[in-house]
Amino acid sequence: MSTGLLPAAGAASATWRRRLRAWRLTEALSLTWLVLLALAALALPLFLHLDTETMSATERLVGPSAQHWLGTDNYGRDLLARALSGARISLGIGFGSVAAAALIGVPLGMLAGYLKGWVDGVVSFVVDVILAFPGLVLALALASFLGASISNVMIAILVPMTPVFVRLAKAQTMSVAGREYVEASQVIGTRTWSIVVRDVLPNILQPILAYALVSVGSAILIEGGLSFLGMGVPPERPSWGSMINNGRIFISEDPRLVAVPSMFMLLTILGLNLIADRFLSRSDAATAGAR
Amino acid sequence: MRTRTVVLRLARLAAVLLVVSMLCFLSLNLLPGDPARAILGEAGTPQAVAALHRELGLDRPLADRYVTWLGGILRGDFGRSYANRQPVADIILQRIPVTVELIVLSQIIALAAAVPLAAVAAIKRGTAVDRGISSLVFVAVSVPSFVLAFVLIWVFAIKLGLYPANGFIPIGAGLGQNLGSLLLPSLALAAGPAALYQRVLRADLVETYGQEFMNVARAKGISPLRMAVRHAFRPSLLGLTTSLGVVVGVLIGSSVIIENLFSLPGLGSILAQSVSARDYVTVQGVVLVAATSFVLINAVVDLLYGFIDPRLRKTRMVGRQVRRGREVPVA
Repeated sequence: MSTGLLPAAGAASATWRRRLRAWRLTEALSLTWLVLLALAALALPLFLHLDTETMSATERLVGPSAQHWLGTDNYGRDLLARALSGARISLGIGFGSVAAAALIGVPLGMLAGYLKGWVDGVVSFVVDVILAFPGLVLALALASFLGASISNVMIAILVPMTPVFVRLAKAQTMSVAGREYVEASQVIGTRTWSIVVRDVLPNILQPILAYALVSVGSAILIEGGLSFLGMGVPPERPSWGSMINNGRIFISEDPRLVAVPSMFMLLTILGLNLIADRFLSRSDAATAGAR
Repeated sequence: MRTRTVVLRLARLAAVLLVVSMLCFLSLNLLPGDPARAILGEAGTPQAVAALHRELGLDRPLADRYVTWLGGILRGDFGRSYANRQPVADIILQRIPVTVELIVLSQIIALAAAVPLAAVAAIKRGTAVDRGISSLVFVAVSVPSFVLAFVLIWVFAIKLGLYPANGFIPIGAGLGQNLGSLLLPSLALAAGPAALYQRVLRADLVETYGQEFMNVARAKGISPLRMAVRHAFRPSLLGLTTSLGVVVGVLIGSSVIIENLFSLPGLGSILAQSVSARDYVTVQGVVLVAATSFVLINAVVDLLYGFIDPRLRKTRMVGRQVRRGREVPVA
């Protein structure tokens, strides 16, 4: 999914510039949304009047008001407070599990791509086995076997995510390993780990970071799916998925209960994808020129 | 492809499937807690537990049990559900048609939307039309299928009352009604794949349009439609084919959520149900079936390359186009 938004080769430079500017606006908006969301989620305890659990029998399913900006749910709990608390869970699990998956997957992929031989054989086989399981199915099975807790949900998400980082890092490493500067390092007798860390890694980092951003979106999606099925984070921690699940029976009465967490999730994933796409197109243009 | 590569690939395929089956087997057996206790619950006397142990073969060594278990699987015996003592194989067989119908229908919708959009975007590349389609596609990639499902339910089932919000009408009750009950879930499943197909196919088409033989075709004065259909399409199908294989995996995953949401009696909903009921024998069976079909479908997709692009039959170079489709998010 890399070159989809790359401008056509023959496009006039004026369209080029206009396109870049147009995309920059959406990117800026995406970044603003993510930063605001993170800040609001972290600053949540400071808003003393916002509480995720306070129920109210008189304020069930009320619309937006000065006190409850996005209204309340079927128990009279503040929707904004719960959505922001869900943001902490979703962003935390999203970034956490992707960081872990990248930290495990990228070194393995680089080793496989650089050393080749049996190392590559073993790593690729393990990758093939894990990728044999459809992502969400594996996550669901792991979550159910491990039991509900935040760290188990992270494990359930990072296992199906790691192999893709291995494959990506391996492919990128193989394309870099034959370049002159790597050969030069080999000729002057640089140690292997030093070549891998200092010559290869910096040159494959950009596509990996871009993919990592996309993956954060996928991780948030999987977390939402698991919570939606009741297999995600424990019920006492509101997450976007469990909020949607909770609101689904009220969909004809008050679609807000589903719409609020859905919008948070959609905007967050969209924002991450938009920012990632910027990096992807840039790295694509860079590698296309080098090939 | 030479015989040797075919044999090697088949061996690798078999090895992957074997390890997958081992993992499925182990997952159930390494689980803390006693399955006999889980079945009998608090009421089980020690004698009953011991008897069930013998019945389930839990008193024998692990490797021994694996061989027996695998033999059973190959003969179609997946064990009995903890929840209702029904054979898991029967449960799976009853539910496969619903999931397959749902996935096939959603793929027809996805391709019907993606192919024309990709062709138009590639032909009008760089224009406002292309940008508009790209933006739409970008949003579609980012919408979780269950969020889209709620939008569809709210608009078509609640506001307009056109389609049932949930439930499945079997094909025996009439094809129209059957398709009607699957329309909203298929649409919800189709959006993501459609967006991915459009992006991949558009990129490949743009690449093809830049090649020499397309200039020759243009110089011959063929109509743009004929050029797209007869000349540009086939060489541009590789990325699409690869993503087809990947998407099946994504769809098997999303169908768990979508079937649960629309109360469709398919494999996905039984997986979700047995996961929450801790019915691990059924979970094991469904996961095994899902993983095996996914692996086999991808093997078939690999074979398709040779048919689509004869150039790949000789050189085993599988280029950028193929890799591009592989790098998609797992969900």
